[in-house]
Amino acid sequence: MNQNSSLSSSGMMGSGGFGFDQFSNNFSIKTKQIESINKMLSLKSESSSSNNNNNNNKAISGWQEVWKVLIFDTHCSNIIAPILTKGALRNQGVTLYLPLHSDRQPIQDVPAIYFVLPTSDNIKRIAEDCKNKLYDNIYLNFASKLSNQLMEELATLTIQSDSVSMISKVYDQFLNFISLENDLFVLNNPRDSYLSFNDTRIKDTQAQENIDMVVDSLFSVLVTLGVVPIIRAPKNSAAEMIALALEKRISTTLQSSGGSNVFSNMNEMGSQLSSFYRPVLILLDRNVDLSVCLHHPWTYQALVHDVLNMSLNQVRIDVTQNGQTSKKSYGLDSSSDSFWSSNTGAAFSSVAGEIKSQINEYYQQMEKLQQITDIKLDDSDDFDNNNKKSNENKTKGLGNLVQEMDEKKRLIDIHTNLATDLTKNIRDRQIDCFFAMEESIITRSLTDKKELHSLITSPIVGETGGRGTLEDKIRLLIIYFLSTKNVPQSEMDQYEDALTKMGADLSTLDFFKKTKAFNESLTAIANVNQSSTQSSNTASGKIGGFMQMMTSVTGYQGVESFTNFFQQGVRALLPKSKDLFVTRIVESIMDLKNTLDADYLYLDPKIQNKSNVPKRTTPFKEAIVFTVGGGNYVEYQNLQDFSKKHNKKIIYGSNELLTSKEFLNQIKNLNKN
Amino acid sequence: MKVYSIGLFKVVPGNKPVLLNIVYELSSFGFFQRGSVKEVSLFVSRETVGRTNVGERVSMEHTQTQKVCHTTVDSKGLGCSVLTDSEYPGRVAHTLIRICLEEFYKVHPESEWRGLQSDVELQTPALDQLLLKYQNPETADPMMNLQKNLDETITIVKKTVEQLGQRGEKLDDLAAKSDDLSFQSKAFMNNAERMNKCCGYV
Repeated sequence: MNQNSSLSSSGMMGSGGFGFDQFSNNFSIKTKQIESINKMLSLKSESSSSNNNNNNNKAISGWQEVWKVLIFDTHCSNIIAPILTKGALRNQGVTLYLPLHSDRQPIQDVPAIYFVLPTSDNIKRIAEDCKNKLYDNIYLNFASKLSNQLMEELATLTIQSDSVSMISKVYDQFLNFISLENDLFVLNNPRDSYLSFNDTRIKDTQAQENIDMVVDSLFSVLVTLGVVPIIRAPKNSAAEMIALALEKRISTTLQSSGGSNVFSNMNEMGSQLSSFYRPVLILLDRNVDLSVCLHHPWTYQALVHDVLNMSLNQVRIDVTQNGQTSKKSYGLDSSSDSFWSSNTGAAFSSVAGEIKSQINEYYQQMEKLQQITDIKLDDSDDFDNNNKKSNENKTKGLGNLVQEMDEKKRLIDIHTNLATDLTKNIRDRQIDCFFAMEESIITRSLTDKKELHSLITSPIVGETGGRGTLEDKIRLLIIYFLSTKNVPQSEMDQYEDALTKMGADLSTLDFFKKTKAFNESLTAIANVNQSSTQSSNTASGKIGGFMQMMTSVTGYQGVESFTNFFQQGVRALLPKSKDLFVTRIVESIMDLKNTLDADYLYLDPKIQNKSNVPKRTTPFKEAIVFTVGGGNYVEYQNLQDFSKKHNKKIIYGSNELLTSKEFLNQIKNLNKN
Repeated sequence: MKVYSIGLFKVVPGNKPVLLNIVYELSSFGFFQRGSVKEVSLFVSRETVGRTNVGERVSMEHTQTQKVCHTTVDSKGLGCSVLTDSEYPGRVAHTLIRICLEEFYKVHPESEWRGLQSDVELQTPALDQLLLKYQNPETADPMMNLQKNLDETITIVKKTVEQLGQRGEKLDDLAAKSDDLSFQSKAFMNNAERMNKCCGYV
């Protein structure tokens, strides 16, 4: 074993010529994870490769010289799928990728790269592959740390079958999380995370396992980013337990021999840079803000998630062509789809306008393309040499342009179809009305009680005069209850009776009634004052105009009438600028205001003497915010809006991203005795 | 019937009691709620023992949370508090208190703690065993018989939260000012009754 393999922790590739701006731009979890995976796939040792060399190799040759097979388990498949396309894998020389637990044929003369979780089942299967000599040699990459026990098991099994020589290298990769955006990640764990941290019936051993899983993944995130953060967390919470365990793990790693290599990116920057640019890791429980999980979203990405059930950046929708409707799957990738990248956080009403602009731009470019073709035809009448060369150049440019236009058309089709499906759902369920009502409630500007009453008590969608699904109504009622200081009991009774008659299960409401009391005490003790915001009204007439705009997107109607509807829609339904509770906590911590976070733990893994930890005196520019027990695109988008406004960088992560439906389901299960 | 904590304090009239040792048995609470429960237990124990007169035996019931805090302070100023649920028999709780005081003296003579001014952890292994043993008051019953005659001559003063207060103080108001309770535990305590009905926090 020792002769043929070496265990080393994967560190980040260094890059020369480090500058402030360059470093600042590297605070991207997705970019870092892609770099780590590409390095894993390249099979080059750390000391002999660098970004520059890789770039040169790619420039010289589009294909790697060595072909490889990639073998993964389901966990690691989830990690790779959102961030590497098949083309990207081919660029790394991976011509074949196979699940670990499947029947696989021997392939000679090709190295195999394994990327799996360190579990006993996986170890046994790898040993079996070695015994059967399926591949010439193999490189083992574990998504998190391989324990000594499992390493011994692997050694024992391969010695027994005399196949130790099959293994070339064994790595701990610390990649056990899923990057969805440059500044967004989720964990690679079983679902129901809110239950995992809030169900009081949970056994101690299971609770500890849940904590350990989060700690392990957060450790991977920090290793991948190459940072050792300051850690903040509220006391007496799951977040505190995770914070303490994570701090201990980082501290232990830093003290162990070679441990600093795990965060090798840190060494590259030098001590001055590292102290200045250390980020803060903020761990929070989902319970600090529950209503955000119930809001009807109005930004594009959040709508695609909540209404169309986007998962791991994949969405499956109904597409109607030539009168036939079928299911279609789309991958939404910010790095290759600039429209998606620019509009994930945009209000849906403006997204519709943007799609229209893209369509117009496409038609204009098609006209130009036609003109180029005409010129070519004219030139073909002349046999002069100069014109021939000119034609060749135009033909070449023409080919590139056609390729660009095809891709542009494909993306336009995707977003047109997404917008069409969203529009249908919005119109059927009147999501815009629910959103506007919730917005006015949350911003303390509710003035139209009749509309609130109508939304909650009118029949459900599908019936005469129906507005919203049963779930839509429950969400609105809960938000109204949570956000309003004192709701008269008679009013609540009226709404609850109406919903009960429609067949609603109000057990979730009972949970939020208890939680509201708890949160009110938190607020009272902290003496937090809600900031008032300017009031706004949403007239029903404008809603009507807005709905017509939705229709026009589908029908590609004239620009003039479209513009009028667009303007009305924008004015009526642009979200107000408002920081959610988590955003306010993050602001308090990053700017050292010491208000909402006065009671929080302050942990520094680099400080060995725990009794006297010196606190940072300058504001943080970078933060990693992690919500324990579930996150939400609305919350993520709110943090990003805040970070852009204040020139900060924030990475948001959570166990999972919850749609409101999923969240309410977990609440129901919480209540079951 | 449950015993949640046993706490020992140095009690000087007019001063805040000094914690000498406290042990907990909180397995009936949710794993993630125990931090807050510990802080509330310590708070209730300290406040109650601080308002118990020398030689007096007190069982203070906090009706809101269905918990009872039993306390005694001896002539040397050593106080003991036992926090139980409301079904636990008061006589057994006070027997437990007396035994805890004896066991503490065996390990920590008065000279060791008389001068202390801030909280400490004076390890007393017997407390952990007693905490387990007295979870079942029936098992402890033989001890009661031996002391039956003595018990009959001493009455247990039962007080309510209101009677314990001074100049109209309320326990919940005290909670807001206490250093024992963190931000979240204060909210937790204020809402223990309401949370109890829904989610079984307490």
